[in-house]
Amino acid sequence: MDCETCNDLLLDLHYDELDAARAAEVRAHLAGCDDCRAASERLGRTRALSAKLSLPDAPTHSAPVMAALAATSQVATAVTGRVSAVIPIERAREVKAAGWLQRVGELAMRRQVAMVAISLLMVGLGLRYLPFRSPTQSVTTEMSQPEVIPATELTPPPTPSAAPPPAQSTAPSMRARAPLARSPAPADGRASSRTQLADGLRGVAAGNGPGGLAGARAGRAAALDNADLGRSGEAETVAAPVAAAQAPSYNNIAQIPGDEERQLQQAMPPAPAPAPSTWSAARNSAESASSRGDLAATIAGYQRALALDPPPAERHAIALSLHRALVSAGRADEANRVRAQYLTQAADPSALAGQVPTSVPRTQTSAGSVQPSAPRPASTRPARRSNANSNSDFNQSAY
Amino acid sequence: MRRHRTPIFHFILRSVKNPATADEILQDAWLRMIQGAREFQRASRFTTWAYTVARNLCIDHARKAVHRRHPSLDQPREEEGATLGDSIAANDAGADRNAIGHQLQRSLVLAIESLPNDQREVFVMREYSNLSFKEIADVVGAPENTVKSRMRYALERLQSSLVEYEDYARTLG
Repeated sequence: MDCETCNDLLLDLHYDELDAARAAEVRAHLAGCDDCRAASERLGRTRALSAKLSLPDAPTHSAPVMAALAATSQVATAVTGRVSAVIPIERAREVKAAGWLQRVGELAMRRQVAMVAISLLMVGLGLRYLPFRSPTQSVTTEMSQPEVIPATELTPPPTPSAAPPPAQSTAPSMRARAPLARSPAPADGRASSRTQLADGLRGVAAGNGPGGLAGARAGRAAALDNADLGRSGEAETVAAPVAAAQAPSYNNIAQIPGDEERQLQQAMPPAPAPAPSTWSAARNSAESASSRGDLAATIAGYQRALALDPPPAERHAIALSLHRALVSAGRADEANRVRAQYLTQAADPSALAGQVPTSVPRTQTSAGSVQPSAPRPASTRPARRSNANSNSDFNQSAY
Repeated sequence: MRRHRTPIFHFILRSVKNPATADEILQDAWLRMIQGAREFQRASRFTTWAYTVARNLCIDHARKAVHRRHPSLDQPREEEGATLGDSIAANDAGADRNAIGHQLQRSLVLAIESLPNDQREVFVMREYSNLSFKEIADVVGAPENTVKSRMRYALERLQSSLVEYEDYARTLG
């Protein structure tokens, strides 16, 4: 055996991991090799010193715990190995549920969860007690503290088609309450429709069931009618007193059940585009519709502009434009009515006939009305004005 | 398990260098052995499996201890070389029971704990737990020759660290 092999086996020799024959070979080499014997002696001395290290005893206080754990393990092994097949399923579910609850409990006791809960609580308290007015609170405040408007301020609009409120005779007390509870009289149909819708919702709030819904629908319809006709007066609060008189169960709109509110939203048609609030806006919309070629919208816009009571000079120009639009649309009867109502005072009635748009050829009858006819020869036409919509077509002094 | 309790505790103690922590890890290892008893493969020895569990826990503890700042009770103090635990507990009864002096005990502990981890665990398991090199190779997951090399390096380091006790060791031999 050489020294290298002896050194490789020296550890095994000292730790008794060599068989007897191999150990005898190593000992024989050590007996004849001083270097290897010295290395073996050094290794032996180090081991002797290391063996003098006293091993600390394991703490005794943990021995009972470990013994209990071992006993539990033996019982658990016996149970799970032999009796697991007969354990009721309900018991197994209980154990599983207990583990689930334990995990939820551990999750709930975490610091982050507590911080989130506190933050949500603070936000909730802030929303509850800070002076924040939600839309629902706004309606409630209006109902609880109505703004009193003197009856003298509720002047009817100058439109001749304003109908008296039908609910005035059926529920006079509510009639007295509802108009005074609204905000100051709106200046146009759009604001009136808003107020009307609020009154309708109050009807729902006051009514518990179909009556309230019907009142809200009626209020909505009345609001739309008013918006179309440009009314702003007392007709807008027709339905609310009726609904309030039918079922006075709720005190404010916050008490509307969710289902009824949802039904109301589903039953109501979508709100149309807001109508122009002034005669100038109506005329602008009519002119824009005319530029688009939408004849019906043009006519409607001019009609609305006339209904909004423009100044006399503007009224004449608008009526003239409406007249032309009606003639272009072939609605001769309505054109004649417009002419009779707004344009008959022209100084030169023949000038009106001369302003019929040349794009749609017309002939003038003896009564001043216009009817579609064959194109007139160019030589018989009057002088062409530069601006068809200008009121310079007629003599302004006549108005 | 009772037979392996003290050697495993010593193995853990030489790794974590704190008796209280070593006790906790020992209980944790014992609990894991109980929980994993059903997965224990009869083909391997229980000793090997027990030391594997304890070693894994020691490694986990060492990884967590990297982020700790507080000093260990067994950590040597700079001014006098004694450990903080020695100055606090002043319980030298264990050392007095030994025939060798207290100084050799302390030097041995310091020399063993100053070994690299791979050498120290091999040395402790071979010298104090009496595991064979093959079993140690199974525990640490290294070839047997590698284990022997680590053991050889560990003994050489200890020999150089304990050179002042050379004469005393001759008297022992």
